Amino acid sequence: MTEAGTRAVKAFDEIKSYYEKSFKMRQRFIELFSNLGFGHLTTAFSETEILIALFEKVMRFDEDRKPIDKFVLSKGHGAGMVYPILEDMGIFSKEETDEMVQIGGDLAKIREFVYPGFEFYGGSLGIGIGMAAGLALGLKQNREDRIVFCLCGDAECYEGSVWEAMLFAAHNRLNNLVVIVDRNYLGVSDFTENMCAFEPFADKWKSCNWDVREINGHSYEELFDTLVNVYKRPSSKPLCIIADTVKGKGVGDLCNIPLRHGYMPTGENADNTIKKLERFGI
Amino acid sequence: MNVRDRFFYEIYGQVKSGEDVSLVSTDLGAPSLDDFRRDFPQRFVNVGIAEQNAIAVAGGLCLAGKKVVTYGLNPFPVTRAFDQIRNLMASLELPITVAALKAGTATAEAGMSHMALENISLLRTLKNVRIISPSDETISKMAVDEMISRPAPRYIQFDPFITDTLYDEAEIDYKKGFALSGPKSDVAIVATGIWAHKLKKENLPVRLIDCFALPLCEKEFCDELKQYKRIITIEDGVDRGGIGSMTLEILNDFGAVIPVERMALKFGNGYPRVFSNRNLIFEQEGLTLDHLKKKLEGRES
Repeated sequence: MTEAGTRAVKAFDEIKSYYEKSFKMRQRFIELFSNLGFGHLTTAFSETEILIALFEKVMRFDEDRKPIDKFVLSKGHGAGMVYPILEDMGIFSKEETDEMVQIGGDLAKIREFVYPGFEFYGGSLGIGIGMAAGLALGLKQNREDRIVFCLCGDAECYEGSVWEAMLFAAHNRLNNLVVIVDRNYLGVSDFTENMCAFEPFADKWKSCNWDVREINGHSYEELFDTLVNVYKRPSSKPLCIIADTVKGKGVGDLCNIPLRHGYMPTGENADNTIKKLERFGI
Repeated sequence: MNVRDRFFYEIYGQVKSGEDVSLVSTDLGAPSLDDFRRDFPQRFVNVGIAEQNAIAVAGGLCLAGKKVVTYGLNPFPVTRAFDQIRNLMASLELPITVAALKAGTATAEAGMSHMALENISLLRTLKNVRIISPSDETISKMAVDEMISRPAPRYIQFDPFITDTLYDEAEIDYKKGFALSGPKSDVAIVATGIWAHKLKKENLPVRLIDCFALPLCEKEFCDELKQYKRIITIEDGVDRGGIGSMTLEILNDFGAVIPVERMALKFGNGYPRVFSNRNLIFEQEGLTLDHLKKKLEGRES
């Protein structure tokens, strides 16, 4: 095989391994949070590939495995998926993760180490992007070469504070800020375009003076292509990546259904959901 | 000098000495900020009229290692951004100082929307957020010292009509949260902000307890209160949840039974519906020195 051919096979195998990781992370998420008896499965599954791509490929860590780049998880109801990923990265053992994700488990433990996603706990929607902007500004003032990533939900963007932060970040030329919007088109009760339409969503970010990329948020090929380039972006604008996703991706009968936002199967339902988990990608 | 300007000049001095302080403004300036803005333009971040974003941005700047003061027009830093304060300051304990211009009815001319009537009551429900109401320049200055030496979440509200120095630093125990003045008497007056300021200057022949920082040391406060037969609380804010409520709660929690009369804004006839000012509101609500003196003399209940 030629050298180029060998490289292509290697790249193919790497991408394939990430899709396999997606399957395992979803499986582990169900195990962890069905035991807890509470969780947000559908939103965790719409962001799975985004988080894996960020944590396991894109973000930079130092030799002690502490993050160099920052990550603010604004859509805090998506925090569940961070646990299996940190476990997969070897930051926590299976036993430690099991111990954390239970009633009475130590929520603050994960923050003590400032692992990505826990700069701040999201959940109160619309706060994370402003914090990420403040952090990006502070890092620039400190002359620290770090990127701040922030993951927001699309329905989170109904919060007025998101738009306050959008204007602020663009005005202050925070080109070290990358906001990824998990565009799954669903809030809790209905589709965004039925409730109060966002489209043309990308135009709205552009009009606030952001660079915008629109990608498939379940495609590692597109995520890697876009995200690895953020370190050498020749622009003074902050970047918004609108990641087109499916709420509930990986479990056919939970996909794209309103009122499944806080759904978490337990007991037999959890076992059945794991059986129904689908592989996708290469 | 008014308490706000003293606060900002002290901050300017601290930054000149090398402290890493940033100021996040919501479209507000001040003569006392002109030097700061000229000499440290990078440290003056103006988010526009966006109180929620101001707290969030301040939180991010704190994560980048900075000491941060947000500056906004009351009541909005609290009423509009309460959720941000609750999550970032109370829960995560990010050491943001929320500096708020105008206190209570100071700008009653602007109407109900601009009166900070509930801020103290609202913030008292949160843990970890210290509420500071300077009744003189010394307390304002010491607030900056404390902010630099012990970074923690704080809210400080400035009454524009408080313009003098009434205390020596040695008289103020910041940790305790209250200061005593006036002679021992049968009645004690518990006050804060503009009322503590007015009464200290009035020099009434009664003990005045100025609650300048909440939560205060409850045990010491209660021990002090137990020495009086009667307590009158007076404040420029709503009666529910203010320092009158606080006094009753503390007495109750320590099992002390002392009559307490609360002078505060009750709006028995509804919120003001006329062009108003602080004096008119105080008159309508019975919050005047005359009323207070009558109460002290037992001529009015």
